Amino acid sequence: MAETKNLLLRLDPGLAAQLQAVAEVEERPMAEVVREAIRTLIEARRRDDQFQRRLRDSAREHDRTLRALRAAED
Amino acid sequence: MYLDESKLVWAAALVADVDPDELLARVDVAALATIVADVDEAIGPIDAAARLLVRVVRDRPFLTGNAAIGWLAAVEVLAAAGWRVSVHRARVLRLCGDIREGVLSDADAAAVLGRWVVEDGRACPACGRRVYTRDAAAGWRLMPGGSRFELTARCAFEHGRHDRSGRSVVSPGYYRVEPRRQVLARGACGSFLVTGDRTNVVVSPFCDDPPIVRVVEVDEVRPGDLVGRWDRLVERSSTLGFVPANEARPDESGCVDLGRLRRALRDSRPHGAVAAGGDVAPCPVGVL
Repeated sequence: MAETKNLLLRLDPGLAAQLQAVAEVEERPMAEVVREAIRTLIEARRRDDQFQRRLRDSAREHDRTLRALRAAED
Repeated sequence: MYLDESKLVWAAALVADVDPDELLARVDVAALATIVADVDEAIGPIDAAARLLVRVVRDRPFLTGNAAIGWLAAVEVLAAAGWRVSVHRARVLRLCGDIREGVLSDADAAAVLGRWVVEDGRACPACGRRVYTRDAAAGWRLMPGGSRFELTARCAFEHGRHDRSGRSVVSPGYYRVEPRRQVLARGACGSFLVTGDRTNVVVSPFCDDPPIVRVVEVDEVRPGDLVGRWDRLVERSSTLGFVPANEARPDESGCVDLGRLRRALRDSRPHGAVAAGGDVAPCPVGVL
């Protein structure tokens, strides 16, 4: 038997039903369907110049803070 | 919606310096979806940013760097709302430490963040529009010596709705279409005056390379205005815009096509952008 993992998701009932239907039709785990949806969104964001610029600007502006946070976590 | 899972993954990928697809393969998507659902219930950007930071720091959905990822994603939520965060990193470290130890609730974190949030950029003294927003060249913030003159000039450069003195640039949409008109008077350094039934305009050189002219609308021309310097005439007038010189050049018979000039004004860039494109030749309206 394939290894499985329970997926706890808070979704509204309509969206949950659609997600379950897609997963059953495609015979894929629901997590994989969700991951696929996120991957599509990631691709869309890749072409979103405004978002990319804003995120990079924020990372540059807060560079020292981000490095300090990472160092504190390590 | 303040955030979706993809934005969170992009923030994490930037912090970890990996490709977002690669990172997505290793992340708990259920945890991401839960965080996004929680953030979606926030009542404003600050509340959303605080919820996001608290969830990411406390639930640790990523393998490493959760505090940094949470902070960058929170800053992105605020930046999308036109706000930036101004705070020393030591305070951010303390905030994330308190969140990790469970000392701070969502509301507490929101209150702390709210004290650090400033509206992006600075207000122009002449018109109130925001300037120096997200400008890396300005070092993210205005230098301490930034005066009202600098802010006004900067606004003229960024938005082009008034000139460097704060005098409004009249929308080209109000400019009346008129047929070809004879040049009435010429100035010494290439300026000339064209009068119409409803509108009088002074065209004067503004930039040599590329050749750009400034078009100024003059409400009333008095006989004394054209004697000597034309400064008084220009002082009480409004700049319509800046157009390529060939759009306003008089033809062989000394006539200017005001319809063509109007179309050029409508398509013209803000004069700040024009000025940035080439060397500005300071050429006031000339003398007769």
